[in-house]
Amino acid sequence: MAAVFRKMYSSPAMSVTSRVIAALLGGYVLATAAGIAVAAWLPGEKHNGVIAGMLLTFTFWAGAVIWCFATRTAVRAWLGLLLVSGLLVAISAARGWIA
Amino acid sequence: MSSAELGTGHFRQSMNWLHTWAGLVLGWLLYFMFLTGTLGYFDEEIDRWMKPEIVAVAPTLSHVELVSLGETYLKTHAEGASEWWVGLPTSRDTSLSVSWKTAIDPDTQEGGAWVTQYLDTATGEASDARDTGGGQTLYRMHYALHYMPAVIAYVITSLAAFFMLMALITGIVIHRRIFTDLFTFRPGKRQRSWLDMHNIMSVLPLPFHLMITYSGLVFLMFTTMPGVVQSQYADNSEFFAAVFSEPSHEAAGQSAASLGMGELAAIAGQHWDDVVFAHVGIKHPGDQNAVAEVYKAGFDDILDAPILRINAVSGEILDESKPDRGPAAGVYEVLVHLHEGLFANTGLRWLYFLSGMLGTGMIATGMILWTSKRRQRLGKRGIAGRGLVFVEKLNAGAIAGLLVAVAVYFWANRLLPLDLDGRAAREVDALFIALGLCLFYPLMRTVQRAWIELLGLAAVLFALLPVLNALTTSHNLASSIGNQDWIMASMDFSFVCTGLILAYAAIRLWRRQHQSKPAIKSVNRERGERSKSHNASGDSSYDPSRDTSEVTS
Repeated sequence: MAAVFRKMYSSPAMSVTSRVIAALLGGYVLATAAGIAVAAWLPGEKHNGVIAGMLLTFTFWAGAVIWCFATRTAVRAWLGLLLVSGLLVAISAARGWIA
Repeated sequence: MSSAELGTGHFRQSMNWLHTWAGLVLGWLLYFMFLTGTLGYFDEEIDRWMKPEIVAVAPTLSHVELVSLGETYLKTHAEGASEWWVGLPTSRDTSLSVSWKTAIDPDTQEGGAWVTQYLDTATGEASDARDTGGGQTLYRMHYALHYMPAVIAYVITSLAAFFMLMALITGIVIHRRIFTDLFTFRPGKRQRSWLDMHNIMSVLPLPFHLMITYSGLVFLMFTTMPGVVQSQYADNSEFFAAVFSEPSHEAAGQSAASLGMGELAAIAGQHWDDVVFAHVGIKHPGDQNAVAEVYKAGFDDILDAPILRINAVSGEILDESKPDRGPAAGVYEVLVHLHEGLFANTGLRWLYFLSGMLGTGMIATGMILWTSKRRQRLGKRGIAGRGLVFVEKLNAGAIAGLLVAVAVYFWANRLLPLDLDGRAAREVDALFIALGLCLFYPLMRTVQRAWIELLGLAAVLFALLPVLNALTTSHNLASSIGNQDWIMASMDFSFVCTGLILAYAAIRLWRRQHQSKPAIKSVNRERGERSKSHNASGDSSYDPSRDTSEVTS
């Protein structure tokens, strides 16, 4: 089973498809998580932090896309996104624990 | 799709792959967005051309006189409306207009619609302006598309803008000699020439391309990035109230005699030391809480000019400055204004237009480059695959076809019967029917013939617009100049210039086709004759359907 999966996953077409999904969907989730982290931590009025977070989402998304296509394998692309997204969620959550 | 460039660990190669595909996948949509958006920088000027019945305002009338004229019309035709507005002539719009918001019936909840009329200052009556989408509809399409709910369109156009952003970033990464290439153009070298043109159109206005793409994404971020708002607010409307709210003045429900709009405009004129206004309005006219709002024509640099609010009963000035909503909201406002370019004067407006056209050209040359690279790679032996031929045909149909379609939109404005039901919507239908036909047209022709014929058609359609204008309205180039109706004259003149530029492109392509023998009639025949034609095609031209020889560098 694992062998079949590995073979299917190592095909170039599969790798490209996986990277594209990671870049678009995974990247979007990461960007939203980054925007939320900025909104949660930026001092000043709440709505101002939200706007700042939203303004930056596209920069984070673009960074995520570059990562997805620059890295050696599609699996690494996904792992990187998961790691950073998890970190960002933790950062946002930490704001709640402190306050 | 070839993915040999991915997973090699070479950053630049990976980014090259990403540049190629991010650019191609939504390239045609981006071309549509860039072209219609760029035309939007002259939306009011296009409006003027498409509403030929509007009478240009005589420059002898003062603001106060014009506002009073508008008020007289509103009093007789818009009794009971919840808002009255008078639109004054500005440098980009020589008309006097009145608009009102019809009262909402408390029982049926009907009403609340906006009505606009253009006034003839000689008679004080409304000009019978034709029902048209004008420049506004054309410009709205670049983000709201057409025939679909706005929210869906926003998601699609935002996604396209994000692909554009990726194409720009990766384009910068893969560009080794970004400065040198700015001064490199090698004409007559087929694929190299397309590459050089693509580079020049991309690099020279690169700051514009990055600004317009990022600010376009920012424009729609409230729709596309809702998660950030939801994370901080239990109720979204709380956030939007904090960001967008204007001071609101409710109607008291008791009538009171208010000052005339002309008097209110005079108060604003004194307060602002005779600045030029664009709009003077009154909310809840005839009510005890009636409030006048006065908008300046133009901006305070790039930021919104303050709006003056006046108590319409007492004439007391209520407030002037805009509420400060914080630094991030300020950045948002600047980005949005940079995108719209409404603050730009005539010179800067033309620079916006030129940059936008270079962006449109960047996309078009990028799409052509995609095909020419693959033609080149095929070399002598190659037979073009279906994908390549499909992209070549779609390029011709979409790139040249949209130019035809925009011209058809203007033709429809003059040719559709004036009393046609839903006339404005039919104009847009004409645009998309023309675009649809142009997309199919290359299927019946060779790619190069489709290019020549569609470009030629667009050239003729544009160049003849002033003739059509002269035949169907009382406006022609000479009379417009005589009446000092500069906007009408400039539009006609620009149409002729557009026609000439397109004609030049079509003739150049046609000459090249006829210089290089043998002429090839169809893709099928081309396959059979490929070896012969290769030897004969020693001309120094690239043509999308037949470029088989290697680039000499």
